[in-house]
Amino acid sequence: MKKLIIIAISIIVIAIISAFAFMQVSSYHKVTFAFGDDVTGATLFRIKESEAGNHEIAGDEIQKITAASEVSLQNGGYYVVPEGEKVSKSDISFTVADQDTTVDVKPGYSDEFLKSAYAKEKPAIEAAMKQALPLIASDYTPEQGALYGKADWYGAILTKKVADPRDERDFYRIVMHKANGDWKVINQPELVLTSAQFKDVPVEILRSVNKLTR
Amino acid sequence: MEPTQATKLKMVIFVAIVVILGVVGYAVVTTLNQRGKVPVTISIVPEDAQVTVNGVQMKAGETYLKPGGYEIKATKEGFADFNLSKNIDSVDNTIVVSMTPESKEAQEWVAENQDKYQENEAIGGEEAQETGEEFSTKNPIVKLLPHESLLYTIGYRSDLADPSGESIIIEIDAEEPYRQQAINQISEWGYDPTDFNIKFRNYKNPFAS
Repeated sequence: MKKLIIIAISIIVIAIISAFAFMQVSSYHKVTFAFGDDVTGATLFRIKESEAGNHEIAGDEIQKITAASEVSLQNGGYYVVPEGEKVSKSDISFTVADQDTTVDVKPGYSDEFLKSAYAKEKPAIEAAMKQALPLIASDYTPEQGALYGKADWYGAILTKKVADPRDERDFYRIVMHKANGDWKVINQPELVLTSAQFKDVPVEILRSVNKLTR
Repeated sequence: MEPTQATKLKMVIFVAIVVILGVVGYAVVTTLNQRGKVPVTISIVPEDAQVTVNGVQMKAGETYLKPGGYEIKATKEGFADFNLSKNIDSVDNTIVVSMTPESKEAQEWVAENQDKYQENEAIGGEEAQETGEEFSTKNPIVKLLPHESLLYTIGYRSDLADPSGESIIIEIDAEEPYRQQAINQISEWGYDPTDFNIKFRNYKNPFAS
């Protein structure tokens, strides 16, 4: 009888462990990392649950990824830190939730690289801007211009030329894009750039330009 | 022949194993089936009407659906066909169907079952209240609006271009140069103005062609 009870308990324990194991295994999903041209590698981290949203505290490093590859990951929050001479080292966050997913590791360029590129592009940008919007040449001054993304996006604020500096006026925000070697103004300058109006501009660029102040 | 004590115990253990394995199996299958889905309650009067959700026949009660847009249809002889487009999202949802009688028999049935319609309408009322709360949850900034200061007013209206009715347009009423201060106010509340559709009243963009 004792033997029978032991067998019964064993079967139940095995069933429960099997079910648990099955649930665990089914919570893993294939994650494909698609690297940008200038990305030479990346480091994959798991976001610690208690620290979600706070990347100042490092997550648990999982592994180095040296080429566009696939990794099996459990449901949860993760981020990768890209590597490469020109690229920004900012985190790229993603979540694995019940399905296979592809993560684009295609960061923009680093601030240092963008600053040096802007110095070269500035004359061409301002010429194209003034040609497209002559009002800028006569009435406005571009300020705090900077390149974003892969040095193919430009953002700045346009302040009104006034005789008395105490005469405060609205200032506008402009976004330009370089395609086929030419800079073009996107839409028209606005008081605030919204993703609803600037659908073709990456939202992180809009956010950055919206943060510029006089 | 009477089974012995040992045989009885064996039978009890066997049944217990089968029950436990069944419970574990059911839990696994249920969990897998409900992954990525949200609970949806279907409340319908008359209860025996045929209900389809995206062409799949459903019964009244709780079911699980993936978030997204659904076409709900209900039919019953003597009643007008019922059609509803509904967006199921990541919070609890209720589909309330109160069918309109057309034939004499159906009208009599409705007259005799007013309590069921009232009960269903009460569920619909709760759903409407939840929808209002859901609107605030999706657009939490509306809890701060309208906002008036000496220099500007920030308000909002529904974005009619969004058929779900869940989007808003922020409206700013300010004179130059205070429009930027209104935008800054939105940032100070902890929201990014980039994420909103913002319109300015009494304003003409000098760069507009």
